Amino acid sequence: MGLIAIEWVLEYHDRWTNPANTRANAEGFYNTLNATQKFAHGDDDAQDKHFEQSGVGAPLAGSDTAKVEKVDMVYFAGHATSLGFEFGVEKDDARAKPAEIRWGDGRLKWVVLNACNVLVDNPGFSAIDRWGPAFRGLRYILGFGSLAADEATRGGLFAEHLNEGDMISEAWIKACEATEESGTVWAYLRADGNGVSTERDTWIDDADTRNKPNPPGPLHYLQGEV
Amino acid sequence: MLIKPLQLPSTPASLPVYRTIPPGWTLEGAARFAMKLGVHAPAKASELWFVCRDEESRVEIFRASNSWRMTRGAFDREGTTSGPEEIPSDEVAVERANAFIQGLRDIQMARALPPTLSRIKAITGVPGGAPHSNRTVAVQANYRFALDDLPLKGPGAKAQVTMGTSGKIDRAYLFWRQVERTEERWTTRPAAAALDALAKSPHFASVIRKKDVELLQIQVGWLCLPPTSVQDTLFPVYQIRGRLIVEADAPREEAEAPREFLVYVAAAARTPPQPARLDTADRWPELVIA
Repeated sequence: MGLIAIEWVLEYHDRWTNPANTRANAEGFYNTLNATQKFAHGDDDAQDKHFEQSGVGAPLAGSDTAKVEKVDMVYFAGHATSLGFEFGVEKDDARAKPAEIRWGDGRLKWVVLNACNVLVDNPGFSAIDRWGPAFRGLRYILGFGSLAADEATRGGLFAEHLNEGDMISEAWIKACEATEESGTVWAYLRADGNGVSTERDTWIDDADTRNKPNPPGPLHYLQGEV
Repeated sequence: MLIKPLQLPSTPASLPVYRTIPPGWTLEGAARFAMKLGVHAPAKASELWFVCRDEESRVEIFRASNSWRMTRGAFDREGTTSGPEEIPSDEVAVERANAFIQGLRDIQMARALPPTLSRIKAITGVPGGAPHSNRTVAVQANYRFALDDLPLKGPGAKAQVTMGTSGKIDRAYLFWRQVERTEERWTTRPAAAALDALAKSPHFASVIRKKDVELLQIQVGWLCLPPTSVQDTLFPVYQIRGRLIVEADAPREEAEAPREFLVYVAAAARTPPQPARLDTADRWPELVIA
């Protein structure tokens, strides 16, 4: 059975407005998915360095090998911009930035960033160029290409669809459709490579696979409106 | 500081209370409905929905509302097997989507607002490499609704029809609740009072003492919860979109990356006077700052 983790932030210590539903959102995922629960960090225990690789980018701190690389899927719920996703405490610099991230060299396969604008794609500001170097065996990043609501039930719905055998991408789109206002942009990035196609990944069939799309071939980015 | 727009929306002093009518889905009823969408299969029940699935398509019928979603298994969502020339034109897409939605009026009686179109965009490329392949793989007709000239807000009142390169309806959903108008009334509060409540809430009170938070758009409407949630009453809310303003000396890239938020604030000071069912108490949902 696959391993999962969550990190969520309700208390931003005046760095941002405080969300109301990120905990319920992430815990809905954690408590619904048929999986082995590895860790759940909230508020000040949730930290950007858990997602970052040591020695990469700036600041250089990173502990992903002991944290998110120990699970198959991690789900983050909090604030973000197109520059990265945001945490409440400045143990590092409180922002996990693509340039600090290398995912998939451990166990990690799928990352859900339940946060605004994190997968925005614009001319001159390409999601593939920005996030591409983070793919080192990782299969998917799922998130939003626009503003999104601070909503409590999305993680649980995503997990329900995964439990039913929906493809990872389809489960995310369905969860976004059911929890977002018309006009919100869902988005995902995925990697094929090394003879591995991830287009039809499911939690049920692929959580335990050891095949990695690494080195990654061309990346695939998809976005659509709810 | 909370920076408010110069003009705030005006709201009627009171609004009618709309109670939802429980959908009453049964396995047989769900299967009959799926047949209208071309899926001839028995319904299977799970906690949140009934599912009917045949070789070609799958229909999910949401138990808590009058909502459904249809997906074709063969939908080429990333556009990897066929060309963009087969995507319907805007005119054809609207015509086809309108006909599809009109054919389902027995489940959804409200008249939809004219649809808007959006597109599913697929990009393939190597980071930092040659120009990426950028293609449109499907067109989406998006429908919204209104009640008493107020828009229905939130995730639970909308419809979408997606048409890719197959020449068929590849995906569609309608999220909806049947409602009845009651004799009860909400006593509303003006937008200015709602913004005061927002400023005092634990989500904003502290940060606006240290940073500037600008409210960009405020709209009043009826909040409709996700189609998987039981909802007894449509809630009058202000939907507020805003941003945190970065410091004047912040690097340019910080200024160009908006720190946005979207919140719903109660447009009435109290919950409805006569809860319909105490077991699903008509209190403000978690999505709303009261």
